[in-house]
Amino acid sequence: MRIFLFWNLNKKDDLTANIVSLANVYQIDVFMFAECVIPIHKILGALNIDSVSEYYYVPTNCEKIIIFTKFSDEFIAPVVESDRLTIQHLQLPGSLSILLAVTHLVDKQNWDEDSQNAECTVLADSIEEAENTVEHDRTILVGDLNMNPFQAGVVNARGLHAVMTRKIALERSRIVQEKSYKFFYNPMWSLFGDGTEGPPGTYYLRKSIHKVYFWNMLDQVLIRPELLPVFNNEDLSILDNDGVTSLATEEGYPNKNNYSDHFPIKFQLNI
Amino acid sequence: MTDLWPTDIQATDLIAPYTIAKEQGKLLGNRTKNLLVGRVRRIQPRNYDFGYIFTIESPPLSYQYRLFHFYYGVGLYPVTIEPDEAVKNEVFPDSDVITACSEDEFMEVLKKIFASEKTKHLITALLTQVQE
Repeated sequence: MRIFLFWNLNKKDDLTANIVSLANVYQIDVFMFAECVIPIHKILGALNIDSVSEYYYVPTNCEKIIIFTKFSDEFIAPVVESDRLTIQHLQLPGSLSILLAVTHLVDKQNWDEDSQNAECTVLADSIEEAENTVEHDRTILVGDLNMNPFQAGVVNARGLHAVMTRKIALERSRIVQEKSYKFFYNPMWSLFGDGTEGPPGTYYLRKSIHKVYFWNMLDQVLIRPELLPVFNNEDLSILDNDGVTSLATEEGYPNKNNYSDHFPIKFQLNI
Repeated sequence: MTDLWPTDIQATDLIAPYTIAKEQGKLLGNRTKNLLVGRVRRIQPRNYDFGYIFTIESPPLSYQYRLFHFYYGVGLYPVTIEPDEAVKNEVFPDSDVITACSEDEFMEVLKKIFASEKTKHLITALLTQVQE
């Protein structure tokens, strides 16, 4: 069993105590951070004070993502990388090997929706390249996609092709115009809105314009059907606390003044 | 059936951006005894007829880094180049859009991308690792 956590730190330089708390309370095995400006040595030092298991920094060529693991970096190797993406092959002894793709995609402030959708096509191609390299499809994609689960880039066959039910994903692929496209399962749909425990999304934005969603699910975990046997939906959550301290305002929104404007997402794989 | 096509159909003397990038990729292979190569792959274009991605790859490490994208229309030039963000910030800090209107301009852009600190660091790191 391995526990993963992704968090966009919103360039806050004083979240080390929260990260340590997350590590201790939730027993995180793999930390993945976007918009991290905290020096790596500072996080690593804080994580490893009084820690039974030592954390390691995973060096990558992707400046946008910082990864720490509770196991040696000899078990994790990069396969495909770019400035916004790192795809790592995780091969732990006695465990199912997986591809862990971590990304921070382009934002809505600087990129229009068509361009964001096109970036998803490039991302999907990168993932397929990595899958071809390692010769398996046990892939998990996690990160700040800067898009909601219903946006075309996430849904389109020629994009990430992420669907809202296991049943559809377990068909593994579908054919459009004679070309086959592999599915991802997107469990974030199940956490959207107030019908489940936890925050209704990972990011809140209220604006005085006609079309506004208020809650957005910008941070997502997408899972290939091959990994569904080792993933349970109840092991995925949006955290509004670090185990000790609330990361939310009194109204329940991400407390962006003191912490990040994104909530972390945590999930477990039984590998 | 009468052939209605003009008799002077022929390829242009222009060298396509794809060809230039592909050749540069091969040259990286030559320089590193194929421990590293540059590869060009077609991608879905955005508002253009053709789109490609240039990656630096290490076959022994089964690793690839996506260095830049480029796009162009059927006229071949101008070509729009979207480099890695760190490369762009270093080499083209004042340009929102990087455009090359000719073969020479495209080669000049590639030269700058290849000579950037990010690219050199990447190549050095990969060569070091592959030789360990």
